[in-house]
Amino acid sequence: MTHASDRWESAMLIALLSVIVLVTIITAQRGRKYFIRRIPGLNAIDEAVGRATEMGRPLLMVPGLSALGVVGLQALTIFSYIIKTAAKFGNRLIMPCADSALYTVAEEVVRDSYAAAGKPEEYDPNSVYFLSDRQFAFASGVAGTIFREKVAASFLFGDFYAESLIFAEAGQQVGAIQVAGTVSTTQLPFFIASCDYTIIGDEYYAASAYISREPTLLGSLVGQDYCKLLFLLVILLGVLAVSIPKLHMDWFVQWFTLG
Amino acid sequence: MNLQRFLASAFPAAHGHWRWLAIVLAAAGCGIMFFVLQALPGRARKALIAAVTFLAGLFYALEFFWPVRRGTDENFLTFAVPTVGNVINVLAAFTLGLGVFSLVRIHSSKIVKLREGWPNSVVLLVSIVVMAVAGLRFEETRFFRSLFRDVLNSFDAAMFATLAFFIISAAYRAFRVKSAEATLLMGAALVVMLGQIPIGQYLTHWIPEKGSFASLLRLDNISNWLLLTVNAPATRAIGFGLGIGGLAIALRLWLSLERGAFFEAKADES
Repeated sequence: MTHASDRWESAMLIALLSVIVLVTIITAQRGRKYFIRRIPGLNAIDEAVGRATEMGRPLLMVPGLSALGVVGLQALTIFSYIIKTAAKFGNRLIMPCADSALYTVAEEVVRDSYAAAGKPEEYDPNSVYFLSDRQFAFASGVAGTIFREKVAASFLFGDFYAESLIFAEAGQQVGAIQVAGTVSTTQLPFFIASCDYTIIGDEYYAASAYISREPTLLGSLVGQDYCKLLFLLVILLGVLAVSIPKLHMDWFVQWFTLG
Repeated sequence: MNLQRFLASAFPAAHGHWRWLAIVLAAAGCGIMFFVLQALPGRARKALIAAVTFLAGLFYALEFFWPVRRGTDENFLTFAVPTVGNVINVLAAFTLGLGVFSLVRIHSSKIVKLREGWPNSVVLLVSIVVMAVAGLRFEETRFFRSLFRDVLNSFDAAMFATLAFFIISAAYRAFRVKSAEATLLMGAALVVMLGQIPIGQYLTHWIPEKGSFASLLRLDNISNWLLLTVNAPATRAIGFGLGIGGLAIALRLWLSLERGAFFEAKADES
């Protein structure tokens, strides 16, 4: 088992980052206004839904192989916004799931999103379904759905592995507008090559704040930026410490040396 | 003390008919818990969900931060980690049934209404039944191994193989020289690819491998430089952002600060 006492420096850093995020959340909840830069991939969601409405073809939302965890729940939060937008225009949607636990929550999210959009009667229980928890069985199922239904827009958010390119290329072949976002850095190049918009890195976690503009989420997002600033400062100090021995900052380098 | 050993001795594994009785009793207990949860008013349910989430998160946080006993790799909570992990597995197992139910419901309805592609649904349902029976009753037989290895794994491999074609079409699109960035990407990709294959390495094999300025012009050295000095830091930077983002969302979920999130909305509506 890994414990903080294995490396107290890392544990202290985790604690410090947590405090920074919590402080910014609290200040945002107390009314401080924060600004977020434009994220084109998330602005493209409305464009994609509009295009699906014009074409009269369904929207596809794939949470990848995400289990019921942080990544999967974040994907559902983004999908919830898409569903609310789609419900206004009466778009049909399809959401195949690879994880049974996530499927159960996804079903509720879709139903609630239709209700929140004021169109509970438009919810189709067959729109969300469990396909398979085997990677390539799921991939073939989703690719088949894309080709059969000729989806107008495809939203790929969550954990993706080798199947990412199968989904993205299948979407390309039917001419779907595609927006993707994942935390799997190894799959990002595939999405960038095949999708119209790709949400990179921590933009994935920024999505819910960007979409909802809810103070807690905005505060958390700003806290993340402060944390990244801290990392940048540490990296710069590390570069200086290694490059200029006269600074006698060996202790600093040692602090961050593994092993 | 080991909680799992204590539980194993307190509740010994049931066999034969007793096993089925134990399963039925456990399912009934879970059903009662489910109805109690449903019957709770929204605010009480919200508080309960927040309390359980906080306690579960606190367990793992404490287990991580609490100092270990001298000479060991354990603290006073480490013994319970496998048991808590098993609880999560049991919860996940319940949802698998719901997943299979969803599949059966959708495809049965397709067959009954003879919708387009209904024979595929028949094949799917028959496959589910055959595989389940083979796995439960004939796991050690050649029949099951053949189904698993010769059929299922072959299908997986066939699907994986399609990636080769998709990579070509994606690469074609990515490397079309349409802008300065695309040209740069194309050039970098070409150098990296050449640097990784024997024929590419042969092209500049006459340049000394190291020790002189000219060695920087060897294709394999340029390729390594691109991968390790340009690509790796960029990937790490994305990793930093993702790590911090994950920490922030985990904190929000743990402390139930995720306003507008699914569980909060569910609690507020009732």
